[in-house]
Amino acid sequence: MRSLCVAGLVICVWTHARADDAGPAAPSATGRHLLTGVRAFKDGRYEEALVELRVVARAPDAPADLAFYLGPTLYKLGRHREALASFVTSHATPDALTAFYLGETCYQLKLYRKARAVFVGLRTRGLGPVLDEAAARYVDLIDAAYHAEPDTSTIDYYAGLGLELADGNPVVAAEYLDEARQVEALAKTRYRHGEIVAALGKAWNATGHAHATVELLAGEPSPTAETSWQLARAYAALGDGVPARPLLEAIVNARGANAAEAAALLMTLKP
Amino acid sequence: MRHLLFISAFLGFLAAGTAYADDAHAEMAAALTAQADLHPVPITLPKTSAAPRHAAAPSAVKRGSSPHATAMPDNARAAAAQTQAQAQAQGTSQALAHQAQAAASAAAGQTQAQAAKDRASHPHPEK
Repeated sequence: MRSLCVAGLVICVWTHARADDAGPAAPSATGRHLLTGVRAFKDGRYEEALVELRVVARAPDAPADLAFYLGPTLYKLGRHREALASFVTSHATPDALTAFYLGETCYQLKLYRKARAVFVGLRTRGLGPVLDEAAARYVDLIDAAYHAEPDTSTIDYYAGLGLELADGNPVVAAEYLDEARQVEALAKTRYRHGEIVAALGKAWNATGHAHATVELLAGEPSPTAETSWQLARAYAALGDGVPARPLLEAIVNARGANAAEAAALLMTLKP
Repeated sequence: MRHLLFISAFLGFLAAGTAYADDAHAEMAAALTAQADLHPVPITLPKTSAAPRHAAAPSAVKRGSSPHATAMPDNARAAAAQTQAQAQAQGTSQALAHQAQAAASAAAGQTQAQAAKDRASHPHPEK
């Protein structure tokens, strides 16, 4: 009986030792590609790392936290929009390092409000002393840039990029439009507000963030036809017919740009 | 007790499967910490007239081109944008705006020519 226990223990130790070898006898091809990619990243061979990580991404057993590997690799390659998309579409809860690279990516893309929020959140959450000091530097530089009220051309910059990207890359478009919304909120007077929130709602609807759209547009003080349409779409996507129905009926009755789509959407709502 | 043997073996194989992921995660974490950009460059808020399609990437991997070759076009774009912005801010006519555009194009051409000269005078070794 005792010998059986010892045998079990030996098997356990042996299998663990095999794994630690990290040699060609890896248990899965995905694990091997992942490790090769990580080691390429470590050596600064980011193109090679990306090739390996793309293979991992296509595998059915890809790790849930692939953004932890892929996002920083794309960042190091200067492919910041792709890095951002990788970070924000990940379903895994980001750890501190992933979040730090998300902050850096936002900083490079001039998404300073988002970068600031990420770094402030990280500092609250707790980082090591080196990264904490770096996060503080990022926040200080952003605050210095925003010491004065942002002017309309800054809002135009973000709104323009967001609108330009809306059809081809709604994930990144949403980030620029959200930045525009946050910058606009810092301005003393309203500027392109309805247009920005409507476009943001549309981008969020297009990327499956109906909850965020509802949160954004439900309390909108002066809704436009487009904001009402995006809000109705979000409610419908959430299966919430009660608030969606009157909005859609109003759009149909107004016979505006989205009347036909609104009528079709009404038909799909449960009574 | 035979069950204990099977459980031990199963746990062992499970450990073998996850050890690679753990190794990769630990190595990546160390690399990310070592390669983080700890000293951000100061910023100015972007304006419409100077909106570049892609942000400059100080941390980006050098793709075999000289720093001048990558920096010059950005400078040219900035110069172009600044000239255009000045023209627009002063409420000048369309003709002046065209002039500004022409001046900006000339500046861009000059910087590209300079970059080409730099490359010619400082050739990079073939890979």
